[in-house]
Amino acid sequence: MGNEPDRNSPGNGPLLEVRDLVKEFPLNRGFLSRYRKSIRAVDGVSLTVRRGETVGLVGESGSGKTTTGRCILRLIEPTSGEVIFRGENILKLGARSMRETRREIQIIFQDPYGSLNPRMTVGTIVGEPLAIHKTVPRRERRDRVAELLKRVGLDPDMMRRYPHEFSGGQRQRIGVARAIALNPSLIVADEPVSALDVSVQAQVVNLLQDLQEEYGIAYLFIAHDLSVVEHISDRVAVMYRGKIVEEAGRDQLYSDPKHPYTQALLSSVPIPDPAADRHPVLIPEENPGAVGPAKGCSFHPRCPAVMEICRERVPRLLPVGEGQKAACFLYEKGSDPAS
Amino acid sequence: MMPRHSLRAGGVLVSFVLLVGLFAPVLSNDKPIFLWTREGRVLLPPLADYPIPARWKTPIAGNETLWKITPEEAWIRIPALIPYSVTEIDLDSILQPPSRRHWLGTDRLGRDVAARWVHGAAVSITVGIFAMLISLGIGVLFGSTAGYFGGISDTILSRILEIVFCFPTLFLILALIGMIDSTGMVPIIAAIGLTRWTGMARYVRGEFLSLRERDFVRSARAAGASNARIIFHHILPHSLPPVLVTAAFGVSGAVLLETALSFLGFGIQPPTPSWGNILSEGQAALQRGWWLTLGPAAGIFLTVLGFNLLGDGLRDRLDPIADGRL
Repeated sequence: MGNEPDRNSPGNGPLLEVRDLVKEFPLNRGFLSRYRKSIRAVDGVSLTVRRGETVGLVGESGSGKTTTGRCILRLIEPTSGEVIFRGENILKLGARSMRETRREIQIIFQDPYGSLNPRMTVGTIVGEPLAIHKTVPRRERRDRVAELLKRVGLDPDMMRRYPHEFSGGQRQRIGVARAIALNPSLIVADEPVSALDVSVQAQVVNLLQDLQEEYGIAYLFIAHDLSVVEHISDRVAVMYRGKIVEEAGRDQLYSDPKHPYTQALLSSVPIPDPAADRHPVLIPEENPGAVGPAKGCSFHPRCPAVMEICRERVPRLLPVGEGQKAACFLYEKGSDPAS
Repeated sequence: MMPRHSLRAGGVLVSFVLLVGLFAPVLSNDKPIFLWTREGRVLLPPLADYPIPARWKTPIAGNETLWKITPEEAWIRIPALIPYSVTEIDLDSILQPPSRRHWLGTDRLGRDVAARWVHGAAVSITVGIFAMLISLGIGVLFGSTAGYFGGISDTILSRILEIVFCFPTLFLILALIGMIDSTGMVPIIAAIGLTRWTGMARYVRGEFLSLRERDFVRSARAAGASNARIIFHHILPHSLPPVLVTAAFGVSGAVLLETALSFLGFGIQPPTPSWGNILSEGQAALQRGWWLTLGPAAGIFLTVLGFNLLGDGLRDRLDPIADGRL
């Protein structure tokens, strides 16, 4: 079953295409307040995930990366935009067909403690998607769950135990087993290793890679630092304040970052060598809860290369090289000075 | 540790009251509780007092003529511990203090107070538990709908809830009973149950609102679970323990309300005894018979204390942090 990731898909288009995704959250919505303010957590995000590839989505706390992931799964309803999965805008699907589509798109959560129902056994947790979609006859469900647990490196005998009996890494493996139970073609991995010990992080990332090779699953891998993503991603998108500021192939992004924010992020990646020559790009800290600047590029208050135009206008995400895009006037200026 | 003590003490008190209530016709009855007649019939006459269809109970319970046979006419005839009926008037022994014959004395009509206390316990506890069940049902339905679906339905339901909440409960009940215009236990239960669900509803709503945002609920939704599945498999099992705690407190509240209503004369109507109306009658003769008020007062006190201790103990028990399990 897992060897046919292309099942019932038309053409060779991308697996997932997100277009101009916007999610606004209302702010201070009082019963009698006349002004309805809102904050744009996701502000016109567009991205593409092809079959079997991994796209890293990186950004700091509050950049909207998790919200983007949840909008793609319709765990949150986006304010506007399109989420096109296998050529179909899933935001327009009715409840029933959406539930069918959910078989194809799964999620792995950041918190391995909160994402497993503490009152269910591991067997029930992993078997729940099978029970919901009835893909496997009831009698064979146990065997399938055992198989899944074995696949993620857990002892099938642990089926009867409860989540609290497991370590963080083991729980995340349970979460992975649940996510792959229905043979999805896309998994949104929402910081799947951020809550784990560094030694365990690598194991889980390797497991995800093995599963990708075996089943051809595509990942949208959300993370808050570039070091985790480097290992697993084919392409990387960097988010800042609800917008994608740079997008490039992995090697390109790591060797030649264009956007000042990406440069700052990269220079903050720790290098395991105390003698290494470092030239950190330092940017001022920011209160993540604060509302961004009223106009101009949202990064301009922290940008080391800020120019006059950055305070006035919002840069567009434009190609800056082969397969690389950046939203910054440093690059837009030369190509398009008039507009 | 304190919590274990309160759970145990509450459990003991509550089981005591429940057992007294359940076995009231066995404990106190003018009929014998066991009869083996010379014709060889074995009878359990107290069954006649239970709400069981007559065609099932009559063969085992017997009838008036059989109950009246003297000890000499039967092989075995065991009288009840308190061998009086709750309505049996004996004008020769009015307002007698507690004695061997009448453990809790007699009232102004010469009725045995102990018998009335036992049957009053059954009435009060029945009203308390069924009223709680009604408010539990309405509260859980209302609160879970508001909390789970949120948005407009939450706004509308919450406003309705606040409107109901604004009425002073006692006066609302008095108005309802006035409208229903019938006596007996059912309208009292309905009136108490229909007015006391707001606290439960708010509580359940809060639980649902917070549980809805938990990752394991999101995970279920992402797996394609239906609303019903999410509610019954994921949210309700987590909100149930705290709801049970609230339910325990709800019983004691309902018992207090029933006694208050009966005391005021709007609740259970005499001659059917309830702790509230025994207390009310006793109050009229307080100077001549202190024993009339002592029994029901102690009964109310112990029942309310029992359910509150039980609720307290359950809460501590179900809170894994206080219990030291986490």
